[in-house]
Amino acid sequence: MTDFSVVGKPVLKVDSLSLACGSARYTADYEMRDPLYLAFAYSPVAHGDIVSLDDSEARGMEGVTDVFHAFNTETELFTTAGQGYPEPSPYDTRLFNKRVRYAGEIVAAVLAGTLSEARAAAAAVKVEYAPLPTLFDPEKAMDKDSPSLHGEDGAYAPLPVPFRAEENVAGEVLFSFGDMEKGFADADFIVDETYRTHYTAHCALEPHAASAFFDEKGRLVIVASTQVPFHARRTVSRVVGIPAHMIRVIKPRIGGGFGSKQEIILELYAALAAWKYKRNVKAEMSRSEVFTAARTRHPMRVRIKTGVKNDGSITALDMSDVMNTGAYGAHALTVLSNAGSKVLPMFNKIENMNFVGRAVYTNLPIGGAYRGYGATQGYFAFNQHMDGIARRLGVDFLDFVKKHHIREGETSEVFKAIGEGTEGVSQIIRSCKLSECIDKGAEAIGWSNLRGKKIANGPVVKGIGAAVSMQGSGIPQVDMASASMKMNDDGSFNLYVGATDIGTGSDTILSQIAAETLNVPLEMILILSSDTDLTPFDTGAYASSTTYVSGQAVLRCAEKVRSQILSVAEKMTGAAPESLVFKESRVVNTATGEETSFSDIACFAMYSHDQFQIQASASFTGSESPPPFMAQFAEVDVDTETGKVRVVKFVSVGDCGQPLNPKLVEGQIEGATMNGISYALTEQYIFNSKGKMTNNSFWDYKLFGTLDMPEMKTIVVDSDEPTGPYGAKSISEIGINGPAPAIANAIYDAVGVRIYDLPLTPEKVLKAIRARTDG
Amino acid sequence: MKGSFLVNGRTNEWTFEPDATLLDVLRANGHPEVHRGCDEGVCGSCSVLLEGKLVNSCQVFAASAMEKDILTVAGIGTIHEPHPIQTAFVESGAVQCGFCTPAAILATLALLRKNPNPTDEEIHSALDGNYCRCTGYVKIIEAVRLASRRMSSHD
Amino acid sequence: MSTVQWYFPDTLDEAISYLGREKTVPHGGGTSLIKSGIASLEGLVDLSRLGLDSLKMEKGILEAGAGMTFGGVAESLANLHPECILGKALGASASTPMRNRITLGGSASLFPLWSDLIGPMSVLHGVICTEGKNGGTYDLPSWLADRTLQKGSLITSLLFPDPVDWLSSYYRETRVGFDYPAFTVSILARKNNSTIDKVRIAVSGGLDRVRRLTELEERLTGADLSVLASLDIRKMASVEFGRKPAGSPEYLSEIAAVQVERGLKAVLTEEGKSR
Repeated sequence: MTDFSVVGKPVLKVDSLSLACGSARYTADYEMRDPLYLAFAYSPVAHGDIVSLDDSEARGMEGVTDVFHAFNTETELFTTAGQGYPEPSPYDTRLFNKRVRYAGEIVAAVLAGTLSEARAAAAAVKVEYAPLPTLFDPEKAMDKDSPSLHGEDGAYAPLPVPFRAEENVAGEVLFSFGDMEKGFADADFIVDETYRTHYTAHCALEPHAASAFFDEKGRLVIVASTQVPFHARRTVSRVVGIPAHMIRVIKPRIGGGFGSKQEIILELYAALAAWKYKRNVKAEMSRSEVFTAARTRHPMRVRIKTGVKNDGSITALDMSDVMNTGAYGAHALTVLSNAGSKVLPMFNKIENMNFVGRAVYTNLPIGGAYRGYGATQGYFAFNQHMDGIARRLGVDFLDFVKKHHIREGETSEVFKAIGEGTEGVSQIIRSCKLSECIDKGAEAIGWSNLRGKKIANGPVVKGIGAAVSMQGSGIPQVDMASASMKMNDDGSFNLYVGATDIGTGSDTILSQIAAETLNVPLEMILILSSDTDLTPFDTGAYASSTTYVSGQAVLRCAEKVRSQILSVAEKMTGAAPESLVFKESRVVNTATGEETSFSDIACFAMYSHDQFQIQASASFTGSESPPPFMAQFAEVDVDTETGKVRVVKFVSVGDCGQPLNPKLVEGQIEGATMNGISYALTEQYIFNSKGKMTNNSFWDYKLFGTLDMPEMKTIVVDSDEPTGPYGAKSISEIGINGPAPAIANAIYDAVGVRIYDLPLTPEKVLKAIRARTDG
Repeated sequence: MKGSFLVNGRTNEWTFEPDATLLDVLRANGHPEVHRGCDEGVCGSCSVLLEGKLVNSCQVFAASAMEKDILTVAGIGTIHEPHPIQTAFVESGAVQCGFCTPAAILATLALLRKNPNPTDEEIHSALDGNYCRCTGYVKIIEAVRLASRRMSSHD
Repeated sequence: MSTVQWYFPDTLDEAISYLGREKTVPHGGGTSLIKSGIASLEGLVDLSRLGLDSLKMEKGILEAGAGMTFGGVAESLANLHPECILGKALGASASTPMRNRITLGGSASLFPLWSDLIGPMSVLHGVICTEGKNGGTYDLPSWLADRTLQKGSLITSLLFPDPVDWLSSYYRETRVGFDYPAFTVSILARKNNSTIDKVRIAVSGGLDRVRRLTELEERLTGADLSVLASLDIRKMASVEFGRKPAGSPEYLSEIAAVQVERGLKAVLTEEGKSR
C-alpha cells in the first residue's frame, strides 16, 4: 500500500471546530434586512380539483403582502427532483396544481411581514375542492378501474423513458437475459416471495430552508439548504422565469440531507416571491411540514422468484417491483432502477434473470431520493429471500453468499442493462473484498457461537442475522464534477469545488486529496464549495458520487497545478525536470540538494518573470461506478411474549477502497447503520383512511436516540480501487441497506418467523410468532 | 414586552412577544448557534443551559427566562479558544453536519459538571434528549468519554 | 400578535389573586402551555418566585413542592431513597431536558394519558394540595373526577403519606427510550418471608386513564408467594385500551398484562428479579 501523508489519515474535519463552537452558519441563520416571510396552505384532501380559492380574508390580514396560488400563478410543468438535465423524472407538477393529489400538497403560499402573520393568513385561505376518487394502494394503481392521477394534465417525461400517465406509471424498467423458462424448469425448487417496505422520512435535523435576497447589482441570491446548488439555479430559472445569470445560489453549512435536500422546493417559492416584490424573503419548513411537504423514501413491493438446484446453484431469478412514488414522480424511475441495478449484480453468476419494475402514482406523499436510493428497498427482500433459500438448502447463509457474490475481475449483465434514465454502463469489478467483510463481521458478531443456537433467557430468545449489499460511486457517464485551484504567494492554495458538503465531510476529503497531491499540510488548502458564482459546476451531493467523481476532479486539478509548480521550479533553478522532487511545501533538486519553497515558487511566478498565477481547473465524469461492498450483522433479543425486538449488537464491515479519512468513513457507516436500524424497527408513516399522515411529528415518528443504541462495531477492510482517487470508492449510502434485512434475518434465527413487511413492529412480530405456534 | 436576559455572561435588554419562546428570542437577537430542529421539544437541537440545567429552549417561554442565567455553546468557548468539550467533539469525529453539535456539547457540559467521570450508561442517559441523524451517536459518546478524561485529568 | 399578560407574583396570595382573573392560568415552567398554545389566554402567572420547589420528608411523609421538576424529584430521590417508585418513574419520563422543565404541579393539573406521575400517585396514595378558591387536599380519584376544582386554585404540593420501604417496580411501554408511554405499570409490595403483606398495582394509559387492579391486589394480599404460580395473573390484569401508535387495543391490553405479571414476579421473587 502506498505511503500517504494526508490521505488515509484521520485528519480533523475542516469545518468541525466552527460547527462545535457555533460560528458556522446554516441557511436560516443568515440575517437579512427587513425580510418578508413565506408560509403555506396545504390540501386536506388526497385527491380533488380546486373549484375555487378565496384569498380575500387572508389578503386583508395584518402584514400580508400577497397570496400565491394556482389561480394567479401559472408555471409550466416541471419536476422538483434535483437531477441532471434533462431530468429522468417526469415533468408532472407545477408550483401550484389546480388538481391536488395528496393530503399535504401545497395549494397557496402567503407572503407577509412576519412568520406568524404569514401562518395566520395561510390558515385563512379558503379552498373548495371537488373530491376525486382516491388511490392509496400502489398494487392497484395499474388496475383499469383505478383513477388516473396524471392522465389529463399533459404530464410528460423529458427524456425518452417509459412514462404512461393514463396507467399511473411514472417509470418503468424492464430487462431480461437468458432463458427464464428453461431456468425455472432446471430448478429443483422454486421460492417465490413478496416483501414490502414502507414510507419513511430522512429526518435531517435542519428543516428545509431557503433565504432569497438581492445583491447590490440587483441579482437574486438564494441561500438554500440544498444538496444540488447548480440544479437549484437551473430549475428556479426555468420554473420561475428568472434568467439564470441573475441568480446566484449559495450553499452554506447544511444540517444533514440524506437525499431530502436533493429536491428543489422552498427555493422556488422564495425566488418567486422575492423576484415579484424585489424584497428579501425567508422560508423555513416546520418539522411537520418536512414530513409531508418534503420528500420520503419510496415504499416498494418486491417480489422475488428464484429457481434453485439442490447443489445450491441458482438457475433463474425473477424480480418484480412495484414502487409507490406517491402523488408526483420525483426520482421515480431512478430509485426504481437502483432497486434492480444495485441489487441484482450481487449474485452475478445467475444466467437467467428477469426484472420488471414499475413506479406508480398514488394519492400519498411524494417519494424522493433517500440514502440507499432503491437499493435499501431491494436488499430488504433480497437478503431475507436468500437467507430462506440457504436455510432450505441446509447451508450457512454466509457460505451461500460467498459462493454467489460478484468478485474482482467479474462483471454482471445488469450493469449494462440498467442505467438511470439511460442504458447502463458495462463495467468490470476491480475491487471487491466482500468475502473478507463477511469473514471479519462473522468473527466480530460471534456467528459460529450464536447462529441457530436460539439461546433463551426466559421468554427472550437470541438470534443473529446478516445481510450484504453493494452500492455505486456516482452515476457513470452522467455525474460530472469540476474543481479549480489557485496558488497563493505563501504557498497555500485556494480550492474551489462545486461539490456540496452537507455534513458528509466532502470539504475535508477533497482538501485531503489536494493536499496529498501537492505535498502540503491540510491547512494550506483553503476550500470553498458550492456557490454558483464562485465555484465551478458539480452535479451535487447524491448517488454516492462526491468522493469518486468530485475527488477525481480535484485530483486532476491538483496534478495540473503540481506540474505548473514543477515547470516554474525548473525555470527558477535551471535543474533538469527528472532531478526535481516534491517534498512538503517545497521542491528539492536531488542533484544539488537545493530546496525551493512553494512560497518562493509562487512569488517567482507572480512577481518575477513572465508573470502568471499558478492555477488550473479540471472536470471529471466517471466511465464506471465502482461499488463499495458491505456485510452487516445483527444480534437481536426477541421477547416472545411481547414481540419486542432489541438489537443487542450490530456489526458493519465495509469495503470502500482506500478510506481517504478513516474517521469520516466510520462516521458515514455508523450514521447510515443507525438510521437503518431505526428504519427497520420504529420509523413509519401512519395514514388515516383519507390518506392523511397522522404522526407528522417527532413525538410520534420515532427515531432512535442514545438510549436505544446497540453495541456498534464498524470495520473497514483494506482495499484499493484502481480507478478511484487514491484508491477510493464511495461509502455514504451503503450502510443503510443492511440493517433491516439483517435484523429480520436475526428475528428468523431466534424465533423462526419471517416478517415480510417493514417496519418490524412488536405487534407484527408477536402476531407472526403466534401464527407459527398456532399453525 | 421587554425584558433583561443574561446570556453567556452578558446582560441584554430585548423586546419580544409574550408568547415567544426562549429559542425565538435567542435566534432573533444574535444567537443563531441555538438551532431550531423541531420546535416540539424532541430533537434537542435548541438545548441551552438555563440556570445550569439543560433545557429545550423551544419549550421555554422567553418571559419565564428573564433575569435567569442562560448559556449557549458560544458562551463556553470560541473558535480561537475552544472549550475542551468542543475540541473533544472535533477530535472524536462527533461532528458531521454539526446541527445537533452545540446542543450535544451543552448536554455534555451539564453532565460533566455534575458527574465528571460518568459511566457509559450515564452518558447515554444525559444525552437522551439530543437527536443526531448523522453519527449514529457512536462518536458523540466517544467524545463525551474523551472530554471527561481530559477535564478530570486537569482537576 | 399575542396580548397575554404575564404576572410574576412573589407570594401565594398574590398568585391566587391573579388566578381569579378571566382566562388566566398558572405557568410553572413546564411545556404543556407551549404545546397547547396560549392564543386564547389573557393572563399567565409565573410561579417561579413562590418557592414551591422544595422536597422534604417529615415523619415518613414526603412532600414535594408543585414547582419541583421531574428531574429535580428524580435526582433527590435517587440519592435519598433509590427504591422509591416516584423517583424511578419521573427519572424515566421524557428526556433529560424535558425533565428539567416538567413540573409536578403542571403534570398534576393535566394528568395526560401518557403521564409518568399518575401511576405512582395511584399506588402511593398521593394527595394533591391546593390553595385558593377550592383550596384543600384531594386524593387522585376525586381530583380526576372534577376538573373544575382547579379553577381559581393553585396546586402547591403533592403529599405521599407512605412513600418508602416498598418493593417497587415501574414499567413504561415505549417504542424507543425517549417516548411517551403507551401505558405504565406501577407496582408496590411488602412481604413478610413468603407472605405477601401488601400489594398495589396500577396500570395507566388505558381507557380508564389509571386503573388500580383491585381484584388482583385482593387475591394477592395475605397470600403465600406460591400464589403467583397458580393464579392467572394475566387474565386478572386485563385492562382495556384505545388504539395508539404503539399498537392495537388488543395488543396493548395483552402486553400490559404481561408486564403486570413480570413486574409482580420481579418485585416478589428472586427468579423474576434476575431478568
